[in-house]
Amino acid sequence: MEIIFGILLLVALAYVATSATFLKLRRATVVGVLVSGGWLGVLAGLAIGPGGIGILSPELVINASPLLTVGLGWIGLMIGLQLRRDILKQLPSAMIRLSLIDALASIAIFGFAAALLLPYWFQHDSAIAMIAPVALLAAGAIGWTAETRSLRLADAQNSAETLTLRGAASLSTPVAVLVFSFGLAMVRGRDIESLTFSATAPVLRFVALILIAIVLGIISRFGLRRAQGNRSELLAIFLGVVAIITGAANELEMSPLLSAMLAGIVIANLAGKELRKFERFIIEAEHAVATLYWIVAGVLLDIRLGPLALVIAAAIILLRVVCKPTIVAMSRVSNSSEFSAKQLLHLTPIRQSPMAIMLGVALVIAIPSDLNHRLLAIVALTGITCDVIAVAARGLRKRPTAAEQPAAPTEEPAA
Amino acid sequence: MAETPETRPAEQPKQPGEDRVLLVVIASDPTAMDDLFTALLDIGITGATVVESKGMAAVLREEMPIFAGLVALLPSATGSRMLFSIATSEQAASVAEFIENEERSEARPIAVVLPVIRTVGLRR
Amino acid sequence: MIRILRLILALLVLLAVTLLVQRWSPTTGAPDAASTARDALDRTFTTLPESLTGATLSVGLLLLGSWLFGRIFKTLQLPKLSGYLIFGMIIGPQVLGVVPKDQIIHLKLVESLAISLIALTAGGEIELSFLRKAMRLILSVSIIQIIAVLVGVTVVVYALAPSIGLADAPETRIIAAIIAGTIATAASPAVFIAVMNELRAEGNSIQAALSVMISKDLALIVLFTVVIAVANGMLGGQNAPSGEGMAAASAQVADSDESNEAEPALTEQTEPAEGEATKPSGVVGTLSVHLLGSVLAGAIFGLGFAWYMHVVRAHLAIFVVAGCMSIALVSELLHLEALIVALVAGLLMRNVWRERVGPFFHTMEDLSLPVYCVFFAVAGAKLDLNALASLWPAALALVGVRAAAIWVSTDIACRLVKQGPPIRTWLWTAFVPQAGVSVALISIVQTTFAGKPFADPLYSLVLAAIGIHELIGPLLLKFGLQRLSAGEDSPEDASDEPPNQHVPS
Repeated sequence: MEIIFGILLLVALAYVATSATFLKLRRATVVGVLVSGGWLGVLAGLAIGPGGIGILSPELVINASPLLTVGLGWIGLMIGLQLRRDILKQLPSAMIRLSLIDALASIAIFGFAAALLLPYWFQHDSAIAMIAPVALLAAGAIGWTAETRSLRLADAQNSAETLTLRGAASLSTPVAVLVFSFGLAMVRGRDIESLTFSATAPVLRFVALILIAIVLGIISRFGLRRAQGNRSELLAIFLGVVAIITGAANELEMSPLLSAMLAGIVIANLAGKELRKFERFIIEAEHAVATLYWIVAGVLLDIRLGPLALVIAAAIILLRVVCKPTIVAMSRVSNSSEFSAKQLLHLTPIRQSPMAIMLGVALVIAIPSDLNHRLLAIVALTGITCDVIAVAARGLRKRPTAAEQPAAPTEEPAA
Repeated sequence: MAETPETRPAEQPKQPGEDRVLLVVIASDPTAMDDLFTALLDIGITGATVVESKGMAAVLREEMPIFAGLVALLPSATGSRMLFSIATSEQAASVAEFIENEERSEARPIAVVLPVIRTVGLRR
Repeated sequence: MIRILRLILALLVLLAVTLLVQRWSPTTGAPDAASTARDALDRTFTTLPESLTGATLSVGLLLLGSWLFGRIFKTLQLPKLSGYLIFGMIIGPQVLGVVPKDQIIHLKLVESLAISLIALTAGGEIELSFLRKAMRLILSVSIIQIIAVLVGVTVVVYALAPSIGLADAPETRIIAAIIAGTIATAASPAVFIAVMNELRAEGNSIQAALSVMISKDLALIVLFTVVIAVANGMLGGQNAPSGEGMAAASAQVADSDESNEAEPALTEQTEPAEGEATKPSGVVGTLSVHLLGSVLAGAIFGLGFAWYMHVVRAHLAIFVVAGCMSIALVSELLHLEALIVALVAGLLMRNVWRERVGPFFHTMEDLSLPVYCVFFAVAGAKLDLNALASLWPAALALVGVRAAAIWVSTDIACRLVKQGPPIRTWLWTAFVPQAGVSVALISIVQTTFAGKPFADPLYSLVLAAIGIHELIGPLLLKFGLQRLSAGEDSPEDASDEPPNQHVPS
């Protein structure tokens, strides 16, 4: 019975997600922020998960981990595929600078804060046990959402600032994957008593993954040529490559996100014309895959956080609100005195990158411990709160004079 | 798509070859264009305007990037094309027939045939 | 030649990478079971078994490897399907062991998906107008073929019994022989659909073959149930499993040393009819409820899918996968026949909402290749090579007699309804391949009669025969289908069908 319920729910979700009303609603501020942050998906997951009507149990989701791993591979591949030489060459230096400064600053600030606070929450005094959680919280804090439209700062929509912010956000995604995966790979073992640390092992395995990615890249280029654009064959090659690279990552105890990202980078820079169709085919599924993982995140997260975990979440939120706009301001992205540009530069960086949730899901799938289920909840909590803060701040800080207000192109249907 | 819309510009008697129509073809698959061009030449359409285009779903998706935001920032080949051509209704019917017989359903373009009331500057 | 060498090189590199990764994996050697551990919050949690985390790599290798192997076969003008099977056999637990046995169990999901996908495709190929027109042909071929194969194989197994260790009392021998004969009437819709897709064959002969296959399958369900019920009654069915107990039984089969376990999905779907039918008096009632229920569920699914295509019409790939999975899961849950459920759904969609559901079937076609690659590679990996090695002469005799019976009976049936070539000459090749259904049936026999002296030899013999059928069946079928679709212009079945687009591979 639960299965039929689940299927009906999926169909209903697909129906809602593709309906014109929803697409229109998505263009409104609040709903736009909720959707682009993935919070509707997470809430749906919560509703069907153990905290809600209990159709899906975390155990069931974890047992589907081979499938979920392949899905994470799909996400990694999407991230990797955009890192093409020709695209990277075209990026303005301000964008790259901003992304680098943000990554370094975020790792330092949020990593330090996490390392400082986590021991109060943990029952065990183990430095090694902190590495993966610190990596998750630091990597999750890198960057911000690449979605700038839903804050509806109309005259900043196509400005240089918008492009820089969006580009830097996209560039920080691979950095976040890298940081998270290395943190995860430095620790081996599952039980708190038997954890071992190694700084060199991840490097060696990383090199191995690069080699595997190159081999698979060559094979997939070879395959893509043979497939001659046939969708069925494309799908077979694509799924095969993703499954092998993520499977290899599993075997080497590295994150499937990282391995698939590497494969994506290799394929993007190796394959020529054949890639276009392949790439479109993969990117078209972006929203569907993301929604699926948001729902999975909702099922997996454990909201029983307790006061200490809430303090950690609050600290991260506070740091985001204070530090992120400062980092952007210090990077001198723009010297525009335009109000909407300023507001954009202030508010967008507060919003957490949607990648953070995916990293949390990847952590739970790799090690399904209670701790990790709660860390995922912390990431979700910080994400949604920061989004709410950004929306609220946009509403509070109105333009100085009504005369400067440009005519809005369309009316907002909701919110 | 089987029958082209009848074109009746006023009540003038139609001369053969004079019933001009505007043929609009939208192909989301670039490989479909290749076959289409060959077919157009076979049918006798030797002139057309081709525009690079982007589907609404792609635009909506790019508005809300999640993992792949970089590509959306740069002008890149979308693969989608629009073709406009002034043709006779017989030619348009042949094009529609060709498109209908496209074996790969996912590569099948969308075609629209519109009546033309007047053309200026057409060098044919 | 260079092309083939390149493909082989790619394949070898892929295998080498997989082996190296498996060798290097730090987790190797750990016990394969879920164990508990404690986290930093001092709470216990269950870790994943290694076979589950390793399954991803295996799926990838099965998929990409069999795709490459299929391309090699295609270049050699052989069916790609045989390539998938043989690749699976090579990397499976019995030859190279790259894909260990405990991981194959985790691939059940793909199998359930494949079975629904195949049956939906089959249903979508058949037009009701054709069924009305060709009813006589379909019925006569089905009936005569079932009788011929049943009699032929029963006789040959009875005669061969002493040489394969089946030397029981004559009564048991007859029962064993009849069971073998019944299973021999099964064909393989999966192999047929896969080869049909590969050749992009369509037309009346394809529809005829599919219709015969389906009617034979329906008859087989009834026949098998009755035979097992009667055999159980005669031999004292102390081992007769109940409907619910069968899931456990099939899990047992999967875990046992007999590596060639049934496709679990199919087993569980076929078994309730059989399990509940152990009391001969209840056979007819249970069976009709079972069949009618399947048809009804299929109609509901068809209606649901058509509604989706009418209203939502988006995210088709996800919807098709979810739809196929739900057919498999619901059938398992309600003890229905997934094959019939999907078949009816496909038939209904194709014939009632033809225009609307076109994209559904196209999406299914797109998805089919990766699913087939894994499905048939897994089937190959499960092939019982030991049984084949020890029993091949007897198995070959069984295969030969079965093929001859199919050929002769199809020819006779076609002559009866005045059906000319190419259907008369080549239709029989469609019914020779045997795979999943037969494996599922013989597994049920083995579990039902576990402990009886005939159960194990019979199991091995039938598996060996299925192995031969899996290897030669697709080759023969490709040859036959090419002739069927090339020469299909006999006036008898001329209809408003478009001419077949025969694409030689």
